[in-house]
Amino acid sequence: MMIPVLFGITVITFFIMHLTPGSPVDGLMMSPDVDAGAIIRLRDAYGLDRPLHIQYFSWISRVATLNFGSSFRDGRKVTMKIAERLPATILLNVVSLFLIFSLAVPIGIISAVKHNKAIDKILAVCVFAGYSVPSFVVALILMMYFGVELGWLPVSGMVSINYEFLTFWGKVFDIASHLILPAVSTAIGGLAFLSRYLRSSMLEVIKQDYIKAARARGIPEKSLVLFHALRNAFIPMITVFGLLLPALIGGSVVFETIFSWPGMGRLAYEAIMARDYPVVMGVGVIMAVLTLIGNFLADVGYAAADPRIRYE
Amino acid sequence: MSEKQSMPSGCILEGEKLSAEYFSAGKNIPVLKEVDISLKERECIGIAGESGCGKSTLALSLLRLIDEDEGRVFGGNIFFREKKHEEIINIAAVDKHRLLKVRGKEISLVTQDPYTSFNPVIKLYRQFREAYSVHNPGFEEKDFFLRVSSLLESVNLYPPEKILQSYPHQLSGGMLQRASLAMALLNEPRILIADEPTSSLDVTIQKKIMETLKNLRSLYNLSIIFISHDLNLISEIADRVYVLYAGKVVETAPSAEFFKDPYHPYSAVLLKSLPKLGARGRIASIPGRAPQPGAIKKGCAFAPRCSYADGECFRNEPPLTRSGEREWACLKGK
Repeated sequence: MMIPVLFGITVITFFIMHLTPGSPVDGLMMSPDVDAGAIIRLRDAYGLDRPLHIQYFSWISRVATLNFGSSFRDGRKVTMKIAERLPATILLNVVSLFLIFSLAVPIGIISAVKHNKAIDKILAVCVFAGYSVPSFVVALILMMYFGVELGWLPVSGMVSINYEFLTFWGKVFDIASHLILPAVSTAIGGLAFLSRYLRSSMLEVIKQDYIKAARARGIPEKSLVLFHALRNAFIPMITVFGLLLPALIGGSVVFETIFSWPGMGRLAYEAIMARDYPVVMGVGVIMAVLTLIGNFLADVGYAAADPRIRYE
Repeated sequence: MSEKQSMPSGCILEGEKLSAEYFSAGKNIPVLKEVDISLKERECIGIAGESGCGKSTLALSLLRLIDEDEGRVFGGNIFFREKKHEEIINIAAVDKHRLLKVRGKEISLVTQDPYTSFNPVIKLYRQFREAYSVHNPGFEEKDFFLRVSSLLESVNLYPPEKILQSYPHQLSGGMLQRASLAMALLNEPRILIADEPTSSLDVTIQKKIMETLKNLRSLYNLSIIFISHDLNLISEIADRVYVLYAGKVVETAPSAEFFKDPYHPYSAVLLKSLPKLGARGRIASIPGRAPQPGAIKKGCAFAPRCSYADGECFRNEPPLTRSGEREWACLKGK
């Protein structure tokens, strides 16, 4: 099932990219030093003069042998370019996922247990504020305040200029301080979504008869909530998590650009702007694979969490 | 809430003037109105009534299991004689900590739907073990397993190891209801509240569960509160009968006398509407529908459906009349 989906994604990405006005040689056309013949020879060399479907098939047959080609801009291998950017994106997303879960779970539980009480309403207002304000605005506000006004945190890049001269722990600390703002900005939307989702899921589970039955056995309220209810409320959360993972990978285009984070998102942005087709397609394939892996993990997690849907 | 120093001898549970209401759309819907019930040691009382008369609410209120945001029990006392010290506590007034020691340990509950009495994603072993551990801190694994296996055997579930390693969905409804009976008796409670324990099962299974229940009763010296809409089942097991109508007790009587000669017109028509083996023709039914508790503000709640009712019945609420062991609330009855 995953292979046809992946195939479909590449087709759509490829044609959208080529339908977009502009071409990789546009920049050259502006230059008075380049004559028309050179541009035609360049198009010919890249195969850009051939029909689209021919171009697609030659691309896909190369990709089938894991050859993603080379960048139009600097001639380096696409796989190399991606390999050097991927760790930064994964680091950022793992940290923000960790932030989302470690905050959304307690917020969700507290608001469900104290539902309609003051604390639930206060949390709801905060969470909705975080959810409603576009996250790039939040990112800019955080940048303004913590980076510029207070000057506590660096606002761009992943490492400082003097990174090479730092000790090991100095390097760790340096990356961590660069990580805080992008990770927090990325996490806010997902945090709001997930905590509200967990709240409603918990509220539904707490009303179930098996919770009442467990209560009738003398089981204290704390284990009813943290063990019996949470265990069940988590099942639908796994599906949400599967949907959240691709959103985080996609969302990184915005945040990596704002914070100049040297990840996949910024690579994709730069490549799109330059119509660097091989790089755009390479990044597209990687993102699609990661998304599919996210979905697959959600399915596996779903079966692990709910014995009723396991294959016997 | 009053304290009580003594209870009639042999009596282990006494519910006094229990009223309950549910909150719905900003209004309070009364469900129970000053219900008195008592239970003696090793006795089984049957609570009969149509759906919506407050039977299940009564079961839940005895253990204070009505959700705080769904409803409340008010105004009454629930006196209970504790196992260990023979001390009398008022369940309606004890703190939460003490309440946890009553639930499952002194008084257990078996509910109607066996499919929802266990957590669907946790193996039975863990659910049994948890229920055992909260009442037996520092227990030996060996003692727990011995207890569970003997209980599972007494409800005819074999082999215990296999049952315990199952998830609830892997067992049938009848097996699950047996498992929940075993669960209810895990901590040797004195009282078992069985709220329609057989109504979601088919008739052959129903029969077996009733056998099991009777067997458990003599095996563990249980006092049972048996709640059912089915008078046949009640006649099979109960020593005394309470008839509930629109949230009030309308008749109390020892089983033998009740089934021979009911005093309240409602009890009489209920008995008449039981299908009998070999009888021909239509089964008698009660005209009209049972009112919502509290819907009838004045007079006897049963009057609109009662063939004996006259003007007096619609004006005055009948008081409980007492004679020997029997009580009934009717202006026209005996």
